[in-house]
Amino acid sequence: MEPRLIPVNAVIALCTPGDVYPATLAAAGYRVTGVEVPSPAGEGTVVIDAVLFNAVHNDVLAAEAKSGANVDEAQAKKYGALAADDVVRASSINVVEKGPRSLQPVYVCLAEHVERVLRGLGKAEVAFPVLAVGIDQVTHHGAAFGDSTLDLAFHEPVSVPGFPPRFIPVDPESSDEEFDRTVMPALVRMLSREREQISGAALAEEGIQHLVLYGKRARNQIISKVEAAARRAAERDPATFEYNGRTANRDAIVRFVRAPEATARQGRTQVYQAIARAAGKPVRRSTSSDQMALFDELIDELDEAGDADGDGADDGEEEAGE
Amino acid sequence: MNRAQLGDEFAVSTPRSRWKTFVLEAHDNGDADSLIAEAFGRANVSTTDDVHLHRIAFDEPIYVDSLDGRFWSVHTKAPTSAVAPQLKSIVESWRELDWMWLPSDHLRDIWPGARPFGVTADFNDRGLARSTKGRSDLTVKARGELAEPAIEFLANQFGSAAAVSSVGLEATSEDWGSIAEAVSRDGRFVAHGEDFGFHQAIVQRVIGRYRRFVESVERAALRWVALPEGGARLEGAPIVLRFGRRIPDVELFVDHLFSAREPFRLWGIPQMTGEDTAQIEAVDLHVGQQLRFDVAPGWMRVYLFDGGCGNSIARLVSNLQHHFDGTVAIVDEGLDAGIRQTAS
Repeated sequence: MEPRLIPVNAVIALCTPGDVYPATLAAAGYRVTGVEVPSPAGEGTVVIDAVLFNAVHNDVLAAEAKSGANVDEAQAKKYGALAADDVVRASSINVVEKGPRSLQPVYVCLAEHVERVLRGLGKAEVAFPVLAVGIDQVTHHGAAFGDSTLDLAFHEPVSVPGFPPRFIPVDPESSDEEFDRTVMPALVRMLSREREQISGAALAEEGIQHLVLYGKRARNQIISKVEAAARRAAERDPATFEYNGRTANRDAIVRFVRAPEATARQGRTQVYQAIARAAGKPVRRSTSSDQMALFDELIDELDEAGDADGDGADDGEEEAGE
Repeated sequence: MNRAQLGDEFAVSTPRSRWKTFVLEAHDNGDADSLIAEAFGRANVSTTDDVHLHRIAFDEPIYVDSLDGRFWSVHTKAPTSAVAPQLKSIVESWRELDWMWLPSDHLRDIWPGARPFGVTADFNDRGLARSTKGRSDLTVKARGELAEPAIEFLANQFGSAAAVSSVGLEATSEDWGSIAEAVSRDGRFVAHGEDFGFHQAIVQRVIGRYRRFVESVERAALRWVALPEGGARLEGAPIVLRFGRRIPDVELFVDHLFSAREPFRLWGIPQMTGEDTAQIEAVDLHVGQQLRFDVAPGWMRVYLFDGGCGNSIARLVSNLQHHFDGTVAIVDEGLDAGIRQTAS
């Protein structure tokens, strides 16, 4: 996963129980109610990277996940101008408890960027809590949350087991390599389902599960990148894929030249392995063990010599088993 | 032919014509008739008075009962050797069909109060692990009085390598009398008893528990739901498996696991993201669906997406039990309960 995408995935992961990544925000009562949510903010609008809601206390966290170290001052001021009820409406939150709603912006960044982010927020003259995500811990910096449960939960660094889950593995800014990794399995899936062809837009729908997150412009950017990845796949492996670029009156199309499912079972596996190699999977050396081969040979010879006890015959019909 | 006549035909079992039932997981899009006709050969299929019951004229006749909807029961009294190869070929040819993949614990609690008279266990971590002594494998077959202690001995002494493949058990019921039933981890049943209804009840009990697990997995699938004003809400969560043994060489493990080979049939190009962590965008070639994986020495995170088939996760769990770690658990307690002996 690109480091840029670690903060947004981390904030979602911290709200998601049942994982080895700690669900610290979930334990404090917060759930993600929206991602990439456009909301009114003062005189303008801001796209909130993740909206978190505590349904018991009616507390909203508006999380800005920083892909880098720079703080956009205008954007930070807009986060400061957010109103809880506007965000409730924008992310279609169901409020189930009567009582006032509150909102707290929070910035989430990579651990190595936290000092610059704090300075940037200072220059913007706003004071927000900041969560810094590292490879082995998440730490709280800057202002308090204003929620004693959260302040206590992040009073000490929260240990994490490496990268967060990849809810959002690519975005419109992702590199060609990242799109290649994402698009190739979608193409192989189509092959395994014996499709003859697929359009670039349909391939994006298949391969980018979170495409629905994005507005039209960002979505078109992603479709273009998916098409470019499909073109590269066809260039690397013309025996399997054929790419026909977009024209004035037709979408880009990938045609499947090879049909692994039409080959015999043993050959089928080899075809899929060849496709993986063409896409860059390295060939590893054999892992066979001389020691085991010796043992197997001995056992085979004993089997051929027959059962010494003469008690090998089965007196019944077959039983279920392997 | 109707369901009552099927019961009559299967009323008596003898040592030479035991009841056999193969359970298939089917995705028939609401049209079981068409899938049965296409998969088993239109010319072989006869309808019956029961719209869910089809007779298949193979060399030895079989009956496909699709009453359950998702899990079909294929009944026959023919020898397994006469039917199993044909069914295997059909399941491998049709993406809409798969076996049940019972977790090890499901085989340890087939029927309340039943007494085991046989157990087999097999484990082989060839390809997924490597030690100075090469691969580890273990094959156990115990019968009679040895069966019950063998099951306990396996669990207590072999830990990660304890994976039950099949069990034979005797059960009694006030209503149905007695039955001897053998069940394998891929959903094959062989039985001999006083009442075919008892056999069907046992099959349905096993299916019922398995279905609850598969459906709970599917409810956990990741789904992005568009919000009216823009953006989206995330539902579901990845499924995290925790291993009772560490993966000694993650690079070797993922290279083998995602090599498109049986029994996993997972295709992917692993990306090592550290010395011992890997990320994989994969395809389950059994059913042609995309999955995402993160792998570390002690755990594996699996992303099942909206509409994904929970049978993929059951197959993965069952095969990992037999090829890497018999003690594999699911971090989410609710999902983990679904693969345990005590699930009801």
